[in-house]
Formats: sequence, structure tokens, C-alpha cells
Amino acid sequence: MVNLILLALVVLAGAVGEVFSTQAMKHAGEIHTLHVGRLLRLFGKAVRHPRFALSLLLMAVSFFAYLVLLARTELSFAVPATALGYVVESLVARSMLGEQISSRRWAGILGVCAGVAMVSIG
Amino acid sequence: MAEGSLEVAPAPIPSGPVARTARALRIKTFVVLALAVVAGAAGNLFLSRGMKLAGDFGATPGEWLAAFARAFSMGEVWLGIACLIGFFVLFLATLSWADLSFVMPSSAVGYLAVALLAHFVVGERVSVLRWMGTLAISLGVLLVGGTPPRTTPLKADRAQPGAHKEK
Repeated sequence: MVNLILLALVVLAGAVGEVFSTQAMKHAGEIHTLHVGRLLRLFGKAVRHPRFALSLLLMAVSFFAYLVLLARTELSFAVPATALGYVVESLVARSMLGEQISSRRWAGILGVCAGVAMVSIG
Repeated sequence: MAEGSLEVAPAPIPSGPVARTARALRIKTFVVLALAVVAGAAGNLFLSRGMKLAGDFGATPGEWLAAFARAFSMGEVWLGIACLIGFFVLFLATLSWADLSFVMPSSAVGYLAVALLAHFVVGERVSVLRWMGTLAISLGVLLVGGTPPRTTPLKADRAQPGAHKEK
């Protein structure tokens, strides 16, 4: 039970965290320069977005929950289980960011998810 | 035939964001993602080497602290951390224009990079199941990579057409 809660924390906090950093980056605007000053200004804008600090916090929560999960379970359970994150994160990206995920992209996401599970069991 | 028929209005030349979107956006995404993946794989490799040099972590908090202190005295660990920061910054950069549901699965191609590095550089034995998993990941990334990198409007597109940005 505790392991399931930890797993949910790893996956959900990680997914929402990445969605928040995506929002911060999209807010800063598309990068199309290699000019160092402009790049720094753009990243500065993203970092100052309130969601950015929140995203770092959520990713840290996800990471530490993952460490605890690793300590409590075997690696061959923890990594394949967290591979679910690819699917969950895509669902969250669809609902929170309005990204359109075609069936082709879904097929790819599922392939990645299954592959990551196989790599960690193997 | 009417005289005016020769004066065909020239087809509007696609320019600006619309023309760029498909190909240029895809190339840009792939280049930056490839750099991110290389940085990430190198980071993991350095980190793994450094942590192995640091040795066993032991059981008591004191031993843990000592092991951490040893780990952070390794140049490899710092190099690994620097590479992973590079990965994160490049990953964020792609998110400034591409979908999260495109970038995130695509970056899983890093598993292929790590497996190849582990096999050819480190000389680890990579099991058959692990190679099959790596193959599944690669096929998945190929599928995702075939979809348009961005499906949401840019901030500029959302703004009223013709509206001028104030400085």
C-alpha cells in the first residue's frame, strides 16, 4: 500500500512538474537564437514564472519518493512501474496543455513505456 | 477568353512561422534533442563510474555520509552532474517550442545511447531482453518522431492578428 502511494507520488508529481516547466518555457517563448544574452534573458523569464519553482519542487518530491521506493522495493519493480509515467504524463499533457496526441504518437508512447519496462527487467 | 485572365494573382508565398513549422521545426527539435540525449547519456556514464569509484555505501548514516563525501570528491561525479544539468537545460529549451508529449518519449532514445555506450565503451554485457526493450523504445521514438512536434498554438499565434506588441 505504501509502495503504491509512493509510486503514485513519483508518477503524478513528476508528470505535473514537467507540465509546469513546459508552461514556464512556453510562456518565455520559442527559442530561435543562439545569442547568449537573449538565451539567458529567455531562460530568466522562464525561471521567474511562478510555475517554474513549483515544477522544481514537484520534481524533487518525485525524485525523493523514487529513492524511497527504490529502497523499499527491487529495481526490477521500481523502474518498470515508473515507466507508466510516460503514459500518465502524456495524459496530463493532453488535459492540462491541450496537446493533441494522435494514435501514432500514442503507439510510440506505449512502445517506449513497454521498452523501458523490458530494459529494467532484463 | 477574358483579357484579365492572364493577370492571375500570384500564389501567396508562404513565409514566416507557417512555412517554417513543419520541416525546420522538426530539424531543430531533433538536433537539440540529440544534443540533450548525448549529454544525458554521458552524464549517466560519468556518474555511474564516479559512484562505483566511491565504493560501498554501507548501512549506518555515518557510513552513508562518508560515502557521499567520497563520491563528491570524484571528478567523474561532478562531470556527470554538469552533463545532466546540460541535459536538463537542452530539454527545457525544446519545451519552449515542442509538445511535452513529443519531447518526453523522444528523449527515451537515451536508453539506446546508454545501451550502446555500455556495450561498446564500458564493455558491459547487455542481456537479450534489454536489447529487445531498447529496440521497442527505439521503435516507439521513431513513431513519436513521425508526428508533428507541436500541436498547440504559439503565444504569437494566439495573439490578435495584426496586434502590435508593446515594448
